[in-house]
Amino acid sequence: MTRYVIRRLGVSVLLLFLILTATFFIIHLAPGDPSRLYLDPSVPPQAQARLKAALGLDKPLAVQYGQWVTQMLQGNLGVSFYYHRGVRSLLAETVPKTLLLSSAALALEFGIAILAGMFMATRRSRAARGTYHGVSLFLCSLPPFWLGLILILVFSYGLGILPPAHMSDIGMEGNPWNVLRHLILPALTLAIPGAAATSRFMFKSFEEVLRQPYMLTHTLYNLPRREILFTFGLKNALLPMITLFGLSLPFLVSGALITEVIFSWPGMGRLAYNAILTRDYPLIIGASLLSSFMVLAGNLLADLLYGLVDPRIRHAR
Amino acid sequence: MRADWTWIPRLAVLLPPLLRPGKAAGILSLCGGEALILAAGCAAFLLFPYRRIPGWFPTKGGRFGAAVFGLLLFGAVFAPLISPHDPDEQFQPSVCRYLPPFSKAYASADGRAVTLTPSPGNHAVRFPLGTDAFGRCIASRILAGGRISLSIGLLSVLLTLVLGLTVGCVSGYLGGWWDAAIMRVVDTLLAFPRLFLLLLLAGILEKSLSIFGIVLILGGLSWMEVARLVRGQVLSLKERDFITAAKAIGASTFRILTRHVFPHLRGLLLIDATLRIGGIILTEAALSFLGFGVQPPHASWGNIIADGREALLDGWWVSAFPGLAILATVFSLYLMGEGAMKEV
Repeated sequence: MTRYVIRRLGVSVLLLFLILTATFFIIHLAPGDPSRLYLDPSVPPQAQARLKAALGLDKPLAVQYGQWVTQMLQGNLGVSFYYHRGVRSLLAETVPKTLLLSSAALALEFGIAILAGMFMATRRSRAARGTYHGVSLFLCSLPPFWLGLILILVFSYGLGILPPAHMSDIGMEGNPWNVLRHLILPALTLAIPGAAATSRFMFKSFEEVLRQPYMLTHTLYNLPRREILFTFGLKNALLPMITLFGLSLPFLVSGALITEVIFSWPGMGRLAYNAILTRDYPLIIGASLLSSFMVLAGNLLADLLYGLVDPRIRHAR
Repeated sequence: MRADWTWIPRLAVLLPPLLRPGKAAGILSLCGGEALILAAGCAAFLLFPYRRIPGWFPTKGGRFGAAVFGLLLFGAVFAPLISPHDPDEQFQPSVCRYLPPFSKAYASADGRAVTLTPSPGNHAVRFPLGTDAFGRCIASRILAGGRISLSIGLLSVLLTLVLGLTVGCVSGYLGGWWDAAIMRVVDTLLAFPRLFLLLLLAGILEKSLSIFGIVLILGGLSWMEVARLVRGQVLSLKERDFITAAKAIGASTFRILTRHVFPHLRGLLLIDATLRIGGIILTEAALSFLGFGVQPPHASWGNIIADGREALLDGWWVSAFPGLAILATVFSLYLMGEGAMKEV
């Protein structure tokens, strides 16, 4: 087991390095460069050249790459071109806000999905099942960004009960109640389509569990139905949910990008979006470091958790 | 054998052109690139031997999905025939700015002066889904955007299938070193944060990006899952007796793959593609919404929604209706795929 974990960790670090190198070359080899973006076209070429030198973009690509790798290994993510601040402090400032939004959404998503999937799997009538299938597929097909706009339209402009943008009102920063009110709409936007998709997995998994002989055994022992469903059914049906949960970990940092843009949520997604718009190379690489790290960590964690929970898999290794 | 009723929903795709037979001259404007792609998509949709694939369209939901998707597809192909106006035509913005759905305006004979009250000599101009900030007809823009969004979806899925099938077959059938090397590459690509990479590529190449560029990016970043699926199937297929028999009579690897392995993968791939187009259309819409995908002179569902985003209060219909079009497309495709999956 330990050897397996060490090997997986080694491979993950290697992959992370490969991904960042690829990102580095993609952004540096693309046509156009940031110095032109920050200056008026009428600025004399000498000034442009000076800016390029200041940003370190005038050296050959191999030299830039070498410098970047050394910096990276020292844990230095560089300074953002646009904000003139360390990438690390920018990320440290925005990531908690993104985590707040996405963990709220994820909790909502899995909460709704597990309950809905479980409840629907115990229904027998064809009509109820058919309706559930239709409705859940319909909710899966909602374009998330459009859903966000419609929610703003209905709840902010129409009913006027929830704020349409930002994380808190001016002067109310840090007031938890105020932040919570701002959190509701973006969290719902993220959670609704996700919950529909996840509940379909939960439905299948719970249906499978209901068919197992041990469920019948418990019924024959005349245990209360609620106890059978929750203690014996739910535990076993949650197994596939663990994989899904691990796979949705990267979502924690990068899944909220579009939602953050729509709701002007001051998180990492919006920062990354602006970084791409302004060709802010160090910030782009910093953001992709974080999101690819989450992908790899999520995959690893899902595999390990699966082994911990299900002894059959642990021994198969 | 059960009677095959699947042709009925598929015939629904012929409806839109039948509604406006008089404007046949408009068919000349069908010769744009995306119309050809869409026409090919429709031909495949109508002529594909679904009957040989067990259980395609077996459920009510599947048939309903096929009918809805067929309507959308042919609505997109024949957009010039059925759309009320030119999608780029700007009716006098001072009058026609943000007209609500079902509104009517009156234009003079030369179409220049537009008023909201009828006067002699003027003819009525209808806007079934309202107008946007520039006085453009939303219904026409949605139809025009559908051509682009659906073409991108179809082409990207085609690219995904071709790449995934080739890589998966090679990897699964040849095995050994080939398999190990290819699967490592696939693993690496899967570890990329996808949406971020998409945004990065599209954002960096923004100005030089044509519709085909978007197709390359979308298709090039989603073939890995297909490759894995195909590889798994090929691994089990190649142990079967009919493959051994084909080898025994000296068939070449290429012939075995195309004639003996591929037919077994067809149904699975078709279902996978159906479910995948929905996801790709959603991704494209998101890219265009953020301003990285289809660029403004062209309409796509995503960028019409983005147009309406700035004026949600003045004209909710600008954002609402293209979103419904995306919803209908993705929902119908999911219904079709889901219906087929039940039987396989």
